[in-house]
Amino acid sequence: MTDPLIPFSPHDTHASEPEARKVMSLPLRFRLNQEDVEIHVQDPTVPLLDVLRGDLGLTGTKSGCAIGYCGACTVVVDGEAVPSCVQMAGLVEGRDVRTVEGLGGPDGLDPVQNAFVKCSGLQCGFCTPGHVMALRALLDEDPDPGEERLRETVDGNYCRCTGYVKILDSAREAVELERAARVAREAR
Amino acid sequence: MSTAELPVTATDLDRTVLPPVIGSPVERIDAVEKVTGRAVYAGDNWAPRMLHGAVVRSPYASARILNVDTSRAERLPGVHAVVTGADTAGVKWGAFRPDLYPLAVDRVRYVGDEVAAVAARDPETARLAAGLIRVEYEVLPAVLSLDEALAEGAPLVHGDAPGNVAHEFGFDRGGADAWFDRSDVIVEGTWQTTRQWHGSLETIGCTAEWSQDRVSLWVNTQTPFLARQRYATALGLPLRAVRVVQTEIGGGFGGKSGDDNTSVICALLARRAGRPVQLVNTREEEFLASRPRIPMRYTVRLGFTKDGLVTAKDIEVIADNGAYTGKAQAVLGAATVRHDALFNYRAVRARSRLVYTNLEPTGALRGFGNPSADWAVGQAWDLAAEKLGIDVPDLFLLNAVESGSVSPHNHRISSCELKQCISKAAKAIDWEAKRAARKPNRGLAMGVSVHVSGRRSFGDYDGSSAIVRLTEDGRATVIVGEGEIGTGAHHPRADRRRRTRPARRGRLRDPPRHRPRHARTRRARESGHLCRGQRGQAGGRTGLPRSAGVGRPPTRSARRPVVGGERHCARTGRGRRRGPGERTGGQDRACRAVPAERPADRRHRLVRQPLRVPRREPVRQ
Repeated sequence: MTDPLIPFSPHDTHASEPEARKVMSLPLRFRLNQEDVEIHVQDPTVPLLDVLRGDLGLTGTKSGCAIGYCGACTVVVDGEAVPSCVQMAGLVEGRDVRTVEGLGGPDGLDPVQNAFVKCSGLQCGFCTPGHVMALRALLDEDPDPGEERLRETVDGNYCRCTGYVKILDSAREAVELERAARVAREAR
Repeated sequence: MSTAELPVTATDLDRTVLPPVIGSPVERIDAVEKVTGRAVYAGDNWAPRMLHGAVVRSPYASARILNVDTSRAERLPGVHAVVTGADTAGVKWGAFRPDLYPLAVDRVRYVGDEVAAVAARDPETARLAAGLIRVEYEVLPAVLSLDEALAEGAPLVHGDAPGNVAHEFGFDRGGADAWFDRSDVIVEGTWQTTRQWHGSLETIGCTAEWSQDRVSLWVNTQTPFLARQRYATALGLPLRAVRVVQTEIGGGFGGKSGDDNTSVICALLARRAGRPVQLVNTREEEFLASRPRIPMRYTVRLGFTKDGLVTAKDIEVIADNGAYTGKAQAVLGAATVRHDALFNYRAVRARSRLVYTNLEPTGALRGFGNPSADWAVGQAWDLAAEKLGIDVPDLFLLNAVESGSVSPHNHRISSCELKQCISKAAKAIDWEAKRAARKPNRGLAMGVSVHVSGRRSFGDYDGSSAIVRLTEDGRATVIVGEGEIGTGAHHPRADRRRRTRPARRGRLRDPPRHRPRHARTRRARESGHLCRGQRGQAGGRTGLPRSAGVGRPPTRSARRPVVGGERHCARTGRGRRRGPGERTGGQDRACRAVPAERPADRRHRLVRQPLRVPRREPVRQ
C-alpha cells in the first residue's frame, strides 16, 4: 500500500485504522463559500457531495439520484452549476465552490431564496437547494435570462411533489428580485 | 380581512366571525428553513459517535440460507457491529399479515431481501464490510408472475399461504346476477397495471440511538404513530420502549409509511454497536426494497340499461403482493370497494385476491389503490359509452352519485358535487372539441376517482383528532398524529390557530394582532414555542409538542355538543365511539381473512366477522 491513489483494499484487514488513514489521506484545498478550506480526503475520486456532506457537514446539499441526473446536489463551481454527486472531489482543488449555505447573509436571504419563499415554490423542499443554486448560477451569468433559459435551468432539477408551476413562478420572481437588489445596490 | 381585524371586542366574542382563509395568500412556515438548506432530513441528522450502516441483500428471488459468514467483515478496521437474522427477536411483523422478519431467517424471498447488516465509521467502510459478508444460498424455484404464483403446484412463497394467496375477500351486494339479467348492454374486459415506484427525491432513512432499554428513531416516515407500533413489534419491545421522531420528509407518496425494514435494521445495529447508527437507502436499494404500487389484474363486467343507467358491476381483482404483505391488503381493499361510491350501481360483486410472488413487496402509492381501480373500471365505462352511443361525460352525469345517494355498501353520501365536477372538468379540458377532432388510434379519455376525505383513520389510528392545550402564556399547544410530508400540513394548524379569537378572554392574553405574521412566528420560535419544527413525534420523552403563536378556541367543528364524553354527529353516528368488535367501513365488514399463522389479536377476530349485507331495495326503472 504505497500508492496513495489505490483505494483501501478490503482484503487487507490487518492494517490498523489510524495507519490506514494516514497512508491514504490527501490534502485538498479549495475556496468554499468565500473561505479557504483545507481538508484531508482518503480518496480524491469520491464525489464532492460526500466531502461536503460528510467531511464538512454542509447537509444543505442533498443526495437525490446520486448519478448526476436529478439536480438535488447542485452546487456552483467557478460560476457553473454542477451536480456534486458526480463531481470528483479531487478536481475542485484550487477552485471556487458555492453551496446553499453560502447564499444570503446577515442582511437576509439571497434574492433567489426570497423568490422561492414568496412564491411558495416548494413542497417537501428536498429539491429546493438544488433549484436555488442552479438559478443562482444562471443569474450570475446572465442577470436577465429569457423565459426559455429559465425553463432550461429549472428543467435540470427534478421535483417530484409539484407541477413546476410555482417553481417557474419563483424563477421569474427571482429575476425581478435580483434586478431590484441590483438597483438598490447601485443607488447606495 | 387582515389578521389585524380579528374580532376581539366583547360584542365580537358573542358571534363566530371567521376571517377568510381560503384564497388569501400565506407564506409557508417552513419555507425559509428549506430554501436555506437548514431543514433536517433523515440523512442530515447527526449524533456524536454516529456510525453508518449498510445492508447485505439477497441476490436470489428464492433461496434457503445455509450459512452466513460475517467474520471477515467483523475484522475490517472501522466496523463496529454486524447483525444477522440470528440477532433479531425472530418475530415477524407487518401492518396486517405479519410475514416479514427484520433480517431474513433461513429463507430469502425476493432479490433485495435483507440478510445481514453492518455499522461502521463511515458509509464507505460499511459498504466494504457488507461486501465481505459471505452468504451461502441454496437456490429454490421462484414464482415471478401472477400466473406462475397461481399455477397448480406452484412453489409456495410462504408455507402458511396455500396457493400463494395472502388475502382473499369478496362480496355480492344487491344481487349482481339478477341485475345483469335485466341489463340491455353488458361490457367486459381485463386490464393490468404494473409496478410503479414513488421515486421520492429523498430515499428512506433512519438514525437510531439507544438509551438503556429504549430506542429513539429519527425516521423520515409519513406515519410516526403507526410506524412506532410496528417497529416495537419487529424489535420485540413494548411500545413504551420505542420513540419515533419524524424528520423532514423529502417526498413520501405512500412509500415512507413504515412497511420496510430499514428503521428496524438501523435500531438493531445501534443496539449491537452501542452507538447511534444512521442507515439511509441508496437509490438502488430504494428501487430494490421499497414498497412500490401493486400491479393489479382487473377483470371488469358492467351492465347498463339501453338508456344508459348502470345496473351492476362485477370485478375480479388479482393483486401482486410481492414477497411480503405490508399495507397491500388495505390497498387492495380500497381498490375493490371505494370505486363503488362514484356511481349509482344497483348491485356490486367482487372477488379480490392478494397473491404472493418472489418479487419486490408492494404497498401504498399515491391514491392507495384507487387509481388502479378507477383506471380499469373507467375503461369499461368507455367501452359502454361507445356501445350505448352516449358521450362519456354524459354517461357519467347520468349515473354519478349526488348528495343523499346510498352506495350498495350502505355508505351514505351526505355531501357531493361530483356531477358539477364532471361538467366543469369536461368544459375545462375542452372535451367536446377534442372529441370532435379525435383521430383514429389516438387515445382520448376522461375519468373520475374518489379518495378519503374529511375523516382519516387507519387501523387503530385516528388521524382526524387533535389535543389542544392552552398554555400558561395564552398560546396553544396542538398535538396531532398527522405527519407533515411537504404538503404544508403544519401550516394550516398554525394558521387556523392564529386566525381565531381567544376562547375565554378573561384568562387569555390578547393575541399580538398588530405584528406581522412572520415576526410572530419568529417570536414564538425564540420563546421556545414552536410554530413548526417540532415534528410529529410518537412516544416522546421530551414530549415537546408543536405549539401555536396565539391562544385560540377550538374550531367550530370542535365545539359540537359533547355527548358521553365523545363528540359525534347524532344523525350519522360519525365520530361515535365504537363498541368492541365494531368497525366502520364497508371493506372491513366485507373482509374475510384467509386463515394464516398469526396471533389471535383483536384485528384478526374483527376481519373474520361474518359478512353483513345491507338490505337495499332495487331501484325501479
